[in-house]
Amino acid sequence: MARKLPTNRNKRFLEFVRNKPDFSVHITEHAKERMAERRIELPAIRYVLRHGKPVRVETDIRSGLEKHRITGRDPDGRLLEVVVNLEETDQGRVTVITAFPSESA
Amino acid sequence: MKMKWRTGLRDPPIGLGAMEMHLKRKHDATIELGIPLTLIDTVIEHDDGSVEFPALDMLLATAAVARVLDPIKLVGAELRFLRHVLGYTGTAFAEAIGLSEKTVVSRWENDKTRIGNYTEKVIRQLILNLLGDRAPGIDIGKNAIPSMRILMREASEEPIPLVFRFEKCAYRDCRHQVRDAMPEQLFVKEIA
Repeated sequence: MARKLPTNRNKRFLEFVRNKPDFSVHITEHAKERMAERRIELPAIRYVLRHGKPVRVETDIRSGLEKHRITGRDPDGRLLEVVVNLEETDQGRVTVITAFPSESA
Repeated sequence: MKMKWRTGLRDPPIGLGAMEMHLKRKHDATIELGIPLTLIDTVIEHDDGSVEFPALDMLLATAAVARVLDPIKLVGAELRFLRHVLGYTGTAFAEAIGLSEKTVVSRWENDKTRIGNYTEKVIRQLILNLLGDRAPGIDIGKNAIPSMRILMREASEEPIPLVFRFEKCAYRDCRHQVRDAMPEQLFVKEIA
C-alpha cells in the first residue's frame, strides 16, 4: 500500500548522501534476513546508496514512513535495488528496509 | 584530566514509535560485512530484531585498514571485501595495482590462485593510501607495509576476527589523539 510521490523528492536522497558522509545504517530484521539469503553485504549496499539512482519515493500509508528506492550496480556488476528510509538527524541515519537483485539484471 | 565518553546510542527511527533498544555487548558482523569482524559495545539492537551500525563509512575503512596492517596472508573473501570498500570493479582494481588482466583478481577472490607476496604488499599499500585518512582509530606506522613480513595461514586455520569498539569523544581532550588530529568519533581496535 504505497503511493508514488513526485520524482523531485529524490533530490532529498542525493543531498542526504552527499551531506552526511558519516550516516549510520539501521537494518530491519527483514532486511537482515534477505541480505544474508541473497548474499548482499553492507559494502555493496553503501556503494549502491552512494552511486545508484533514486528511482522512486513512496509513502507507506500504514506507517507514514517515506521510502526511497535506489537502484544501481554493486562493484561486482550486480544490479541491486535497495529500499531505505532516511532520517536527517545530525549525522543521519539510513534504515535499510530491504535489498534485492533487480529483475532487469 | 576529566574525560566524558558516550556511546552512539540515539533515539529510535522516526515512525517506528517508542522502541526498546540496547547496546549489544558483542555483535558478530561477519554476515553483514563479509569478513570476520566483531563489534564491542557498538551495535544498537532494537527489540524488533533490527540492528544499527554507527558511521558505516568509517567502520568499513577502519576494518579495511586494520586488516591490511595485519601480516596474515589475505584470503579471497578478504580481498573482495577490500575491493568493495574501495568501490572498485574487478577491472578498476586490476588497473589500480598495475595489472592488465581482470581475471587474475577474480581468481584470487575465489581462492583459485594465491596472491604473490609482492603484489599483496602493493594491494595493502593501495588500501592505506586511499583509506588511511578515513580510519582515525588506527595508527599507521611509517613503512608499515614495505617492512612487513607476510605470514602464511594454514588452509584449515580459522581466520581470527577483527574486533572494534566505537567511541565518541564528548570533549576535545579525546585520549585517542592520533596523527595530530582529534576525531570526534572513531573505531578503536581491541584485542581479539
